[in-house]
Amino acid sequence: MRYSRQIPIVGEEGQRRLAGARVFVAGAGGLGSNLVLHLSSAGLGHIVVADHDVVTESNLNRTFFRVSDLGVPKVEALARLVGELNPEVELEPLRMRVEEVDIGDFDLIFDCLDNVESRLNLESSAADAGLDIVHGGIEGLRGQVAHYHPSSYRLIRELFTSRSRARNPVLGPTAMLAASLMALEGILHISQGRGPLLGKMLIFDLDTLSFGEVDLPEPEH
Amino acid sequence: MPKILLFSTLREKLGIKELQLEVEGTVLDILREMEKIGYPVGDLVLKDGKVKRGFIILVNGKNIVHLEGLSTRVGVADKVAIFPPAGGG
Repeated sequence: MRYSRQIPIVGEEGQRRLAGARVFVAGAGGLGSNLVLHLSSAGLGHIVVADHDVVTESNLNRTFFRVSDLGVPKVEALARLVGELNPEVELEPLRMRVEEVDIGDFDLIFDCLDNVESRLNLESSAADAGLDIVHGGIEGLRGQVAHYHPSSYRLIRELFTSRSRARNPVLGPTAMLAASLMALEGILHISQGRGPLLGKMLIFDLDTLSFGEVDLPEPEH
Repeated sequence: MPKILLFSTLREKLGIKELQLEVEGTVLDILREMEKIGYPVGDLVLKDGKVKRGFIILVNGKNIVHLEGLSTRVGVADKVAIFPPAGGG
């Protein structure tokens, strides 16, 4: 059976919850594309992914996009990959800017974006909708992953005080590790109702193999 | 005693992950105390009183830029995190 090795971890009911879940992945670059593949392999039923870019050669060091995907919109290339990986997953590819997406009926939002402006917009929309965000950010060999309630705490506003945008260097394993951690958080949160990163931010540096956590402020009641 | 959490390159540079200080005061007081006891963090503060580009200082998850900057008070139960956030995706 397809999920026989993970059902002992997430449980039969948890697997059903994954199959019935609907998540939004904002961005289909190094973080988003790898995250979608993880979620698809795990049997997450409905994934909406938005990105307006096409696959370029410089994307290939940190994604599973192929040479034949060059020039194809990332979300369409991803839809093809997911179709081959797990046809049970319904992937809705949106070739548009995240700002244009109506953030409404989702179980979880994944912030895989690469610029502060869009992250702020996503955070604001998720806060209005009362939805949790699993955030990821990467640069070089470093990164951070967090799970928080934007309706009570605005992580992006605290992390990034400048809105400048740069093409940061990044190694494939950095993107893949952060995407794996984001997927883990999503899978456990949806299947078990217990994301180990909820209310925390994990900060890692693969250059020194250092990992550490910061507690995020608890919601004010 | 306030707890100071260090990440990424700071861990390598200072050789510690975290420390607890006997002093209370402002963020600047905390950084000065760290310098005094042998942890060179002085270059985190620029001449204009801002934090070095690329690094942030959070006090209980709040960026000091949105509080009172280096004059933000740090109490006994507070946690100060210093690290370079990663913005790419």
